[in-house]
Amino acid sequence: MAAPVRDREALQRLSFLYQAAHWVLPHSPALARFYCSTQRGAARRLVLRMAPSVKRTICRRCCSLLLPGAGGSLRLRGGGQPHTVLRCRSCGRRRHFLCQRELRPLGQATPTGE
Amino acid sequence: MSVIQQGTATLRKAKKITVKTCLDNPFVFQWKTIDGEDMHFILQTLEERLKHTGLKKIETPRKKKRSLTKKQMERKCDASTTELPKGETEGNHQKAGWTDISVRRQLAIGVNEVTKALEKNELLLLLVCKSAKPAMITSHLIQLSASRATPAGQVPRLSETVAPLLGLTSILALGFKKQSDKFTEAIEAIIPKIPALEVPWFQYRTEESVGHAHTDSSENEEPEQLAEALGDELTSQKRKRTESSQLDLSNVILQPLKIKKLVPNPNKMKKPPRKKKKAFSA
Repeated sequence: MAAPVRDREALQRLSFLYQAAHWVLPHSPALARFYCSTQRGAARRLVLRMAPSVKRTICRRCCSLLLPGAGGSLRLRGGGQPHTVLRCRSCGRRRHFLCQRELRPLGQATPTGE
Repeated sequence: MSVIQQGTATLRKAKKITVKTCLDNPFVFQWKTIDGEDMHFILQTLEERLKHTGLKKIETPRKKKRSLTKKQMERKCDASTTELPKGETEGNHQKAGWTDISVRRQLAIGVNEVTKALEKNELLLLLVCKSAKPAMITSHLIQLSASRATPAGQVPRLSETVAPLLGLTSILALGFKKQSDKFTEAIEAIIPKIPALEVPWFQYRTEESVGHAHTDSSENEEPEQLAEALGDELTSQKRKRTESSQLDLSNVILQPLKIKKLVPNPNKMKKPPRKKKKAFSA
């Protein structure tokens, strides 16, 4: 199936915003947050999916870009199943990700892992 | 369009499998492979230094913990507390813990400790084990160490060689802090062997601070216009406007769009479709 044209332009816009947010992050985290919120808003309006690796780096509450160094802190926790806890520094929202060993084949619609 | 008959499963399965597109992460972070010789050299130097310092963790055997607690309950009534100290020092003449605390403080052992030390800029060198399953346990360290400009290398058998020396079950990350006296020689020997990590935005940022580059490229214009336009909206941006216009973006390479194609899971458990509505329509 050929990729529809409108979606391709919109996806390019999303990826551009994502990359621009990364470049701008050291200079002003506020601008990076704006880019990420624009990206999320655009994806929501056109109902476009984003890879889980992209979604995990954007905080859900404040839309700030979370990098392990600046913005979010990552910790590993045992206790039952090993999982990583990613904490946004600006709004304090925590996300838990289970460390799954078996990843489903990459082409499937139920995406897991990266 | 062909007429869909009711109740025949074969026709339903002949539907086209629609392929959905989704945005994929344009950045890919990978550890760089270290050559076999360098790898052996790194492991050997580590082993030598660790044996030289004699750092080891001694853990108490916890096999008799449950029996101890039951006996404790019984003998608490009798008010005899001689069982406790005996149980702890049964197997070991030395105290439980690390042999050399001062040396222990110069190392950051374990992923969490390494991440904390990296966030505080305390590390000189970072070594990661390649045998982590799943790999996302250590993948965040790539970006972290690149942001702090700390050399970091992935060595395949770090856990197998270093863990028994230290008396631990497994080590996935090992960091040397800046104030380490005993490991400076080893660190200086290891650092040139480790290839630099490629993280696009941090690499170019260090180049910016070194030299001034020209801002003539066409890609530079778009983000600058955006930055200036947004500078009016956000008050905090106003004072920083002059700084943001000096943003050096001539080295920006826009990553190509990566699209992931998703196929619906063929083994997905589907709810049985309702047959009542179609009976009415017929």
